[in-house]
Amino acid sequence: MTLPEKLREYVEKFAEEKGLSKKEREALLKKAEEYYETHQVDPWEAIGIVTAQSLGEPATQATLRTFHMAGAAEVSIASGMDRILEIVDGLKKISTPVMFIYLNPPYNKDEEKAREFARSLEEILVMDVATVKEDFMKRTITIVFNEKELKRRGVSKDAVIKKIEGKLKGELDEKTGNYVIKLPKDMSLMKIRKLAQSIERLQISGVKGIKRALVRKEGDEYMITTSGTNLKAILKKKEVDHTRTYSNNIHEVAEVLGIEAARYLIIEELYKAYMGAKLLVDKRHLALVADAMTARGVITPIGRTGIAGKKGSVLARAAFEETNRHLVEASVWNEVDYLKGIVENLIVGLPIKAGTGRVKLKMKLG
Amino acid sequence: MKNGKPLLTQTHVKMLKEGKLTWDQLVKQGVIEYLDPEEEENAYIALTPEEVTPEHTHLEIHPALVLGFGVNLIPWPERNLTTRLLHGSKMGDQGLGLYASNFRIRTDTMSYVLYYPQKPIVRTRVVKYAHLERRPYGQNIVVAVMPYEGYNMSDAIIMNKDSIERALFRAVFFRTYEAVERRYPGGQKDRFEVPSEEVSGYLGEEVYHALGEDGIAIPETRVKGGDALIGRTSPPRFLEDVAHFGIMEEKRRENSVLVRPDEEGYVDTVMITSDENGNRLVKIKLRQEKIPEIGDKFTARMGQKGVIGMIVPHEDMPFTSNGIVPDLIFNSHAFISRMTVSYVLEILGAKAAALEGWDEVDATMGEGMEAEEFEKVLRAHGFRRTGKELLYDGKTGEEIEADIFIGPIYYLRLKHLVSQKYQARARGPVQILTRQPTEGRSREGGIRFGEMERDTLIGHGAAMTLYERLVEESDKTKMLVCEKCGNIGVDDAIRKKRYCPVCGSTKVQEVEVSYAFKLLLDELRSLGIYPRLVLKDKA
Ligand SMILES: [Zn+2]
Repeated sequence: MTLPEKLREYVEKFAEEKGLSKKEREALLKKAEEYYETHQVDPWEAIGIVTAQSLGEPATQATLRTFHMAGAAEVSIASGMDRILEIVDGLKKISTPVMFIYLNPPYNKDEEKAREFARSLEEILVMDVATVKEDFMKRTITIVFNEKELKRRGVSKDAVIKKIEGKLKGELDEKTGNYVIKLPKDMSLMKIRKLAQSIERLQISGVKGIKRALVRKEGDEYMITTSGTNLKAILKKKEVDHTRTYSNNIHEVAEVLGIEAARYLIIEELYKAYMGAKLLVDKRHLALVADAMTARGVITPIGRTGIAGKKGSVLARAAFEETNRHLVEASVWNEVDYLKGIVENLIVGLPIKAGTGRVKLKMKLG
Repeated sequence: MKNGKPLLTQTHVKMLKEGKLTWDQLVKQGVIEYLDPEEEENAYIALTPEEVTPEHTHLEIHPALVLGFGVNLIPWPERNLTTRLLHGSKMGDQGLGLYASNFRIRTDTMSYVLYYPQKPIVRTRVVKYAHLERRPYGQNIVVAVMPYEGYNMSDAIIMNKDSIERALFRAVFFRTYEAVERRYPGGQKDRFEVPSEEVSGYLGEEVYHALGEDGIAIPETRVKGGDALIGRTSPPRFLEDVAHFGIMEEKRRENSVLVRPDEEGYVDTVMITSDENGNRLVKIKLRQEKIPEIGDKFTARMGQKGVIGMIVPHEDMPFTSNGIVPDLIFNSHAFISRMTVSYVLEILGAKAAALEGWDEVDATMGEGMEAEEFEKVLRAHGFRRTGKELLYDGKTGEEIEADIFIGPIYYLRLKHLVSQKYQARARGPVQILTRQPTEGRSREGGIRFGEMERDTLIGHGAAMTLYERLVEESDKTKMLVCEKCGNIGVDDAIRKKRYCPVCGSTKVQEVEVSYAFKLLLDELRSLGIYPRLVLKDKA
């Protein structure tokens, strides 16, 4: 048996790095092939259950704690059990969406440039740099600027006013420095409140959805981590190295980069979550989970609404959850159970079709 | 309880002591106040009179009272981990002892009484105020802290066989059985009597051996599981049936109260009285002696519980140069992670008390005696101040290389006795509905081979082992299935004919399935769902 291309490349690269001779290289390759063969799964081995147990048992050991880096200039990422569940349940809204943005030269070598670019990504709303006050008696909306925040975020007052004027015209009060919008006398209170709120949410600069962007040194280059994600918009920017940039939101990655990327992300994110809790698991178990979740071309969560709920067998589905619904629907649609899976055969009282239950022996005559 | 000063004064205390004032009066006067947990949130409570400031709203009567009753029975509670105290206080009320001084005339469904309960040598003041000196719940025994041949690993303990034979931790278990002579509509009545052979459901002469003429067991007779304690017959269920056959004598039903299958013992007390409806009521207490055996559970007060792993004869136990042989051997590894300091302190304290003849060693929270005092006493009596001694191996007579920590400590016997817990079966009864083995000890049940156990076999690919467990050893049945329409067929044994009752076809095949599956099919049919089986040749 020969090694898959990728593994072969890996072994060869390793041999090259270590400066092995041609003979040694061949011996190593042969050993790797031997290993590859002996480490394959036996035919009809119940890998699903082995995977479930291999992932489930260490998960019971994991603490439900989330570690927060207090105060440090770090983007906090959910970890441990919470994160594992988040991935496996295929949640669309994850608790800590994060992007890892790698930069093209020269941005990745120059800290100042990287920092400047990071600042340009942060989404700044009117409410971040000013307070919006409604006066229902005088029918006015007053925008009180916060000079300190303006300075800190590098936003000019004019830029904010320009943005607001795009929506509603007002006047700058020279005495107080506030921007006042006069509204028609017959406007309803409800409408005023709504207007004020929409002004608060006006975006002045940055990329939508990105709350914070921090520059970090990784190896010999600078990269950016963000809290809040918008992969689609970020990948369009010329400063970004789109071959390496990714987000930790599986659904977003599946949509923007494709299901194969999402599969890879599931493996890596699960691995990170397990390793973060200092639990050792074999990556091939994670790969099976990722395969099962992505095999249908869309992210399918594990569980009642996902994989378990879409099993082919009526009996298997009924045994898991919502027994009545599955049985009634099966009778309405005249479903046939071919007894191919494990659960069905257990229910009927037949040997399961896996492991020793699958192989047949034939006597060799003569 | 004050405006800068405690409302409770020395005068109050003096009057209390002289009996001129009662606790209730103090509560009524508002000198003493009970706070619930939510009131506590808004109170500023001082622990000791010294720390009182004008801001304080209340003063604790004694600092130890911040802990509950159960925790306050543990010696030196402040020196243990909280988790251990929680364990200890929880187990405190499972200890066998003298639970009530009128236990002989009480009719609790279940009760345990320890033969020779002792008051603890090392105790907190709460023990006295709770009158536990008069109703103790354990015994002071000599414990050596060391491993013993691996028989006390993982929290097991070794017990001295001779100590047990000298009635250490021997207890008695009472169970009350009761029966009423019920009256039925139509003037008929249950009857306490020795059932005669004509009674339907007659159990045989042997079963009724303990009964006197009145159908009630005679005190101090020995009975075993299944024997009748109260003989009782009931009138037939359907009166009409009897009336139709005129001549036939009324056949009464057997309805005796039998001893539970796993119990045996002596008939202790028999009480005959009447219930609220004026029916005759009999209560019988069955007395069973419970001698400590392998698997029984014991604990020290600070949550160091364990079960007996081995009962060792006196001569094989280690002994000191004074000839002291421990009653119990406790594994030293149990200390490392649990850090029960008060276990060590209690042994030191009790050892000192035993040498000096003290009646009591105070271990109340915050004001218990200190280790230095015990060390001084031990030294004065020629012992090592650490409480360790040179021990000799009982089997070889050789010195044990390490010094062993040994001394008296208060132990409890907990009410979890193996004799009331163990269960095993090779074959036995099945449930009528599913034909699967019954569940539970009292029903002679099996141990469930559950879903997770099932998963392990699947994971190993052990298909035939799994099949054997779930079908062959459980509820395997044969059923007939129609080849044509897939319904369940009928075997008419009289006409020697097998056919399908739905389509009439005689082409029916015998199929092996689990009975639970046949039941599932039947239930589906009763719901109006029509499941059919499609047969295929066995490949
Ligand atoms: Zn038929």
